[in-house]
Formats: sequence, C-alpha cells, structure tokens
Amino acid sequence: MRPETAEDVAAALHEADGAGRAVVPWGAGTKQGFGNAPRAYDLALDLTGLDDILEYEPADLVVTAQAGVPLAALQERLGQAGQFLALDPPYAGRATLGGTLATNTSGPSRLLYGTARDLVLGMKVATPVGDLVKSGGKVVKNVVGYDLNKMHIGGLGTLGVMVEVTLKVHPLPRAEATVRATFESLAPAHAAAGLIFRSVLYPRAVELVRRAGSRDRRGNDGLAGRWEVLVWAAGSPATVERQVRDAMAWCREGGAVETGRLDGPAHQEIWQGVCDFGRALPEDAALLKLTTLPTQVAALVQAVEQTMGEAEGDGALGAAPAPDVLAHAGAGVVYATVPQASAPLLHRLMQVAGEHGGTAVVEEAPPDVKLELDVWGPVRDDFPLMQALKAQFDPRGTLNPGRFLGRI
Amino acid sequence: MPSGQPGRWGRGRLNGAAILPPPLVGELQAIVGKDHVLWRHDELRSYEYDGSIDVGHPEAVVLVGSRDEVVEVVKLAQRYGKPVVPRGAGTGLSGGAVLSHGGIAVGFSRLRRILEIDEQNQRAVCEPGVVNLDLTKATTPLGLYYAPDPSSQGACTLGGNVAENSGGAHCLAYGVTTNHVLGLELVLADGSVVNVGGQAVDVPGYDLTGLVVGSEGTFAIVTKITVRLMRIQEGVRTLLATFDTIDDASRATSSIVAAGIIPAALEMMDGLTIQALQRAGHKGLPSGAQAVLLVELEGMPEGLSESTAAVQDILLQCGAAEIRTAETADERDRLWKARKGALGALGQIKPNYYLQDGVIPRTRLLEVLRTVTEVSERYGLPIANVFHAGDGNIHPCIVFDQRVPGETEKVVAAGGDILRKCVELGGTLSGEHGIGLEKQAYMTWIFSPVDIAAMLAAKRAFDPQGLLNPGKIFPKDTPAP
Ligand SMILES: Cc1cc2nc3c(=O)[nH]c(=O)nc-3n(C[C@H](O)[C@H](O)[C@H](O)COP(=O)(O)OP(=O)(O)OC[C@H]3O[C@@H](n4cnc5c(N)ncnc54)[C@H](O)[C@@H]3O)c2cc1C
Repeated sequence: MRPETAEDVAAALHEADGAGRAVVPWGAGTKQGFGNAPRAYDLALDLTGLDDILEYEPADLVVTAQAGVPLAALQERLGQAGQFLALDPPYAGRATLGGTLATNTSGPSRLLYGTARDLVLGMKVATPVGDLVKSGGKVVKNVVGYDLNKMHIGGLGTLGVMVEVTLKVHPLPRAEATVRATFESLAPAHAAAGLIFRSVLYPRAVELVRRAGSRDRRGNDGLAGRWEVLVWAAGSPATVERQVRDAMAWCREGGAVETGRLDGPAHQEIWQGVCDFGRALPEDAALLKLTTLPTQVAALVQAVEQTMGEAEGDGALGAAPAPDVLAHAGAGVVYATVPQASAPLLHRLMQVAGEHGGTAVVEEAPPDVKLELDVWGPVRDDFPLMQALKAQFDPRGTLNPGRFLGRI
Repeated sequence: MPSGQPGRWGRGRLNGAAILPPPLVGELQAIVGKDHVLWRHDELRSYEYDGSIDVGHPEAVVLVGSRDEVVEVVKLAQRYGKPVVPRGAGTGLSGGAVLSHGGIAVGFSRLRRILEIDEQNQRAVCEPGVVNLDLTKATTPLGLYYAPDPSSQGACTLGGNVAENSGGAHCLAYGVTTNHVLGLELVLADGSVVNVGGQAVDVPGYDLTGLVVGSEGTFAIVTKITVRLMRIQEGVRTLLATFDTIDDASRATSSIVAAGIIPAALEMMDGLTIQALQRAGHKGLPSGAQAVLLVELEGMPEGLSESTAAVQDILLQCGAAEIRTAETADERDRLWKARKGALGALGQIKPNYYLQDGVIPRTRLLEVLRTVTEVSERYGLPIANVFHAGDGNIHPCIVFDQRVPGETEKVVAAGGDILRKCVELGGTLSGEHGIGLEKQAYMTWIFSPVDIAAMLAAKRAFDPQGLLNPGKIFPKDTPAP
C-alpha cells in the first residue's frame, strides 16, 4: 500500500489495526534488514508517496518535510541555500528521512553535530487508532509538553509511523579537508585519535579504520594490523588549516608511519566510504554495531578480534579473515564486520561487548543466522517501561511486531 | 497563573508546641531521620513557592539523603495516596515545584555530590541536587565545562534542569539540557529503580532518557544524572553593539543567523532594561540606546578574527551606533555584567516582575517585539525585553506592583496576549521555563486533544496512578491519567 497523504497513512493504519493485520512501515527499504524478523507481516506501508518538502525558511535554519522524502533530495534542496541536514547515515543516496530517523542511523559527523535526537524539532505521527499526533514544534527551542519525538527516533516504527518531521539544519562548512594517518597498531592510533577529538580543534569527525578485506585481496600481509586515523576538518578556511596542521603533527608525534592530507574529490570519497562502511557485505557476513566509552574502544576492538580469532579454532588471527573495523572514535561507536557469521559467534561477541560495559546490535546478518538471534541483545531494567509505552501506543501490536528490542 | 487559594496549613500550625506530628510525618521521619522532615507551618513557608507567582501547600518536605530513601518515601506516599513533588532549588518559573495538590515535597539539597568526573571520556555523574555552576567550577581546571547555562545557574540544580530541559545564553551553539544528558537513574512512582540511557551512546531501545528530560517531574524522580562535558574553547570574542531602535537590533540578529554564523550566544536587551541598569548604577551603557546586542563568538583564534569581522559588518550594516569588543576575561565579564544584572535591575522601575518565555521563528523577531510594545501600551504596563535573541526565545519581562489590586491579573493577561502572538507567528509557549501551572491553560493553543491524549498515554506508562507532580502541564479540566 502506498498512501499519498498523512491522513491516508493514518486511515490505513487504523484499518489494519482493526482487522488485526501487522504493518511494516517501509521507506526506501534500505534498512529493512534492521531488527529482528517481524513476528507477523501482513501489510507493507510504503511511505515513499509522502515525499514533499513542506516548509523551508533558510534564514530560520529549519525545514519541515514529509517522512518519505529521500534524504538525498532533502540535502540537495538545503544545499541550494548553502545549508545541510547534519546526518550522514549509510545509504544516504537512497534512504528516506523517515527510515533514517526510525532506525536512528548516524554517521561520522555525529561527533560535532550530534544525532537525530539533537536535530529533530517536531513531528507528526500516524497512530494505530488512526490519529495524527503532533509533538514538538517548528522552532529551535521548545519545552511545551512531553518530548514525544524522542520515542519515535530509533523506535523502529513500533510506536507510530512518522509522516512529517521538522528539523534543525546547519550552514555548510565553508572549507573542509581530511587528515589520514597510518599507524602500525591500534593502541597508538587510538591514542592519537583521542588526543584530537578531545581537543580544542572540534573537528567534524575522527575515525579509526582498519580494512582487513583490502589486505586479503591484495594478499599483502605487510599491512596486517595497520590502523588509520581519519580526521574530518571543517569550518572556515583558517580553522581547517589549523585542524589539519595540529592533527597531522599529533599523529606524527604519536607514531604514525604515514600522514597525508586529502582535499576535494578524494576527501569526499573517503567520507562516503566511511558513511557506507560495511554495507556491501558478502552474503555470509554480518555487521555488528558496538558502543562503549571512547577510552574503551581499543580494548573492545581487541576483545572482539580475539573472540573471532578463537572462533577460527587455531587462534592465528593473521590467517583468519579478520574483521573490517570502523570506529566513530569520539562517540565510542564501533562497527565491525563479521566474516562467516554464525549465530553462536555473534551471540558471543554481543556478550563480550557487555563485558566491556557496552552494547552490541547486529545491524545486518544472513537471514538464517538472524532467525537464531535476538539482534538487539539483552533487555535491561528499563524494559518494563518500554513495554508499558508499547502497550499505550500500540496495544494490539500492529506496528512491526517482534522486530525491536525484547521482540516488543 | 496565580492561584491565591487560602492556606491548608496542616496540623503543625499551632507552632508545634505540644502537638504530635501527624502519622505521615512520623513515618517520613522514620525513613530520613527527624531532622530531615519539615512539617511545621513556619518550616514549610519557603516551600510554598518557586520562582513563579503560584502558591501551593506541602504537608511535609523531606530532605532525602539517598536514593533508597527516595524509594521508601515514594512507597509511603503510595500508601497514603499523597502526591509526591520533587524539588530542586525552587528557581523554576512555571510553578513546577509548587504543590498545587498538596502532598509531599522531596527536596534534594542533601544529594549534591558530584560522584564522578571522567576527564578522558568527558562525562560526569552527579546527584540531582548538584548546583549547575558547581559542576562547571569543578571541571574547569580540567579544561572542561557543562554547557547548558541557565541565568540562574548559581542556584538551580541539575535535577531541576533535567526536569525543565533548561537552556541558557550559550545554548544557541551547544544545545539545551537534553542534548547533554546521557543517562539517568530514576525512581518510579511504584518505588522501582530504573536506569535509562547510560555512559555509552545509542543504548538499544526507546530513548527513555530523552523522554524524561523535560517531563517536569511528572514521569519519575531523577536520582542520578550522567552528563556530557565539553572542552572549553580556545578563544572567545565578545561584542556589545548598541542600536537606536529595537527594529535594527532585531534585523541584525536575524541577519547574523541567516549569514550562517552561529555565535555561542546572541542576547538582546531593550531600552527599558538599559534604563533600569543605569538607574541601578551600572556604568558604561550609552544613554538613549534602545537596544543592545551581546554577541559571543567562540573557537580557535584562527577563525575568530574573521567571524568577528563578519559579525561587526552585519551589525554596522544594520545600523549599530557603537560596537565594543572584549578580548580579556575582565572586559568580557564587564560586558556580561549588564546582561546578568538585568533582571535584578528591573526592581528600579517597579517592585515585581513577571518573566514571560515564548519562542518564535528567528525571522519573526521584529514582529513579535512590536507586539510586545503594543501590549505594553494597551495594558499600561512597562515591559522590558532581555532575551536569547539568537534562538528566537523571547523573555518579555512585565514590571508591576503586586500591591496594586488587579495588577497581577492584568499582567497575566498581557503575558497571554504576547504568547498568543508567538503561537500565531509559528512559535510556541515556552522555550525553557516549562508549562507547569503557569501555562497549562494555554496548552490547547498548540496541541489538539489528540496530541494531549498521546502525552497522557506516555504519562500513564510511567506513572499510571498520577502520583508524581499531579495537576501540571495539562489544562485543569484534563482527566487524571
Ligand atoms: C533569575 C532566574 C533566571 C533564570 N534563567 C533561566 C534560563 O536562563 N534558562 C532556563 O532554562 N531557566 C531559567 N530559569 C528557570 C529555572 O532556574 C530553571 O527552570 C531550573 O532548571 C530550575 O531548577 P531548580 O533546581 O530550581 O528546580 P525547581 O524549581 O525546584 O523545580 C523545577 C521542576 O523540576 C522538578 N524537579 C526538580 N528536581 C527533580 C528531580 N530530582 N527529579 C525529577 N524532577 C525534579 C520539579 O518537580 C519541578 O517540576 C531562571 C530562573 C530564575 C529565577
């Protein structure tokens, strides 16, 4: 079903709810692999018909758009006015605004700009009883009533279906550049990254990357275990120069074996790669998202690698297909690919993350592996509250049943 | 809204001489100790108000000393069917901490420890009674600070900040409380203890932290707060520009934002405020100026000269009569002194002031300020404007004399007229002070019955019996959750 208006979305939900039919809201479908498989699935609610940009006043730095608008189309429109939405999730070329918010996906720029929860000002949500509920507003500061926006950001459409969203936008930085530094091992790379993201430089992003895959293809063992620090400098031309200069110097002092600067297309390409990390996986691989404290990133990565190495049987990591790893170092978010993923291995990796005071979510995995897992990991003591919310907002379990945390 | 109901003082009223405390008080004393329960009339008086003009009457105030005591107090209140109202420093401006329905006030003045400062991860864990500024003072030696800075930061508590989702002058660039809170420990209305969010980001599940921030003490009692700390920027430039008309200052504000410059702070004061400051003995503000803009830019020195020059150009183009810049901390403090002393100085005009809080899209500043002037003339009430211009968060401050019969009602009506204009212009009722009792009647200007029903559904998920801070936020005739 592909409704064209917010009212039609609400009506469709109401009808499905009355008939006891399970609804899966659908944007561009880029993240339909997200979450557990739904317990029931009777109706795909295609939201791409809601693709209007409704209000945009550049001088207010605020935009209101329908949820089905492709992120790329929105960015293009904002770009014409020298502004942008500071979200750089994977698949930004195809993903819809609503899908991006429902999955709360983000990218490297979160270091400077935050995530969807920091950018959404208001929304309109269609509910299973057929209402259109408004929360928040269209101004940048607002404490009127409860902040129900927060329930739907990352709620995977299990409490309602976003149909319209108002967002804060930012001026495009006037200048940008990348610093790329290569280190022999993780520890010094992690230390250098920390020095940078904790500093007065306030860069847009600081990443830690290790691409094992490319090493394998080239058969070049010399690069095994090498780590890259990527720094996204952004701001005025003068501040970008300063960020580049200091970041490079600190990386060199921190033991980088190679440092370089990227501008223009090379700069853009590298960040595109960072945003889309781990998305074009081999069929038998999984993508794990781990979170922890920024200082714990290296320890967590090592524990993950060790666990994967052990799973290979001989513990010889060099021979085993090592994971590709990308960390939004300042945020404490780590993405790791798991080649030849199995449910027991993923399960074990999720436990390891827990032991390091973090969380783990399996973002992508082969369908048969996913069926044997709860991709969200264990629930915590706040789960009864989440169930209470679900009972209030979707008492019949019409929306994406079973897909979210605790198979809610 | 002023309630003015007659007092219900409870049984402690006869100076407590030979009177035994009521059983509720006795049981509370058993939980927190005798010294930490206030229940006599004279003891309760300072807990009848917050910073707004509403009044309510607690039956007892408990000054809790631990989370477990909060749990026991909540369970006891359940048993007695008494409302529980958390209370920070009582600086709230919308009646949030006022006990309009009686019951027990839970005070956090004893829970004021900073439990942990994690320098490397730029996080702090605090008890709810920690005073906002104390956290920044404690972290400044590490080059870190807590960004949300309400003007009341020397007194207000982090618990109150979380409940109100407070903002401040520097929230223009760095965001308000909700953007800086990572996790909370909560005591729910049934006495259970729940942790939401955490030290790491993106905890799987619904963003309960985000939902609780700004819930005005109606969802849960916050007993521990994990916040993000920010690195103190390397350089600061502060500019003070004076204008002959408030229209020019408004235009300058909108132009700075439209030019893609996001200052750390962009504050405005109008002519009446300047007069009051001068009468209060504040030197260094040009007489006759009808508006002052205070613009603060932060960042690396490499960028500051350029952005300062750009702001200066805009200010001049928009008709600034004079621009002063501060580079040293001393000069900067002097420029901020006027802004910080503004509310106090208004006492030079009339004894009372009523501080409104409304928001408009930043491009509509000029229109809303014209309405403020009209309203001032219509009601014959002086209104001073001291506010966060950069976010479109206005604070018209109506000065009056409470002793004059009928003035308070006029003041409230005038405030309502201004808010109505904010709503008409696409804005809203409050940018940072909250709804509480003050604006509950206006909620229907913004939200439909369906919207309000959704909010009440969220309330039911947290507090199905409506034990926590009842009678707030929603219009008075709203059925209990
Ligand atoms: C001169 C002055 C200037 C001000 N400037 C600003 C400003 O610039 N920006 C701004 O945003 N506000 C401002 N305020 C308003 C006020 O200071 C803020 O709302 C502040 O956050 C209130 O904190 P408090 O500790 O005084 O809370 P209180 O007034 O005691 O309580 C406020 C609300 O918080 C709840 N609460 C308190 N503690 C807890 C807890 N532990 N758990 C759950 N709920 C709790 C209460 O129930 C109540 O609903 C100003 C006030 C004054 C008097």
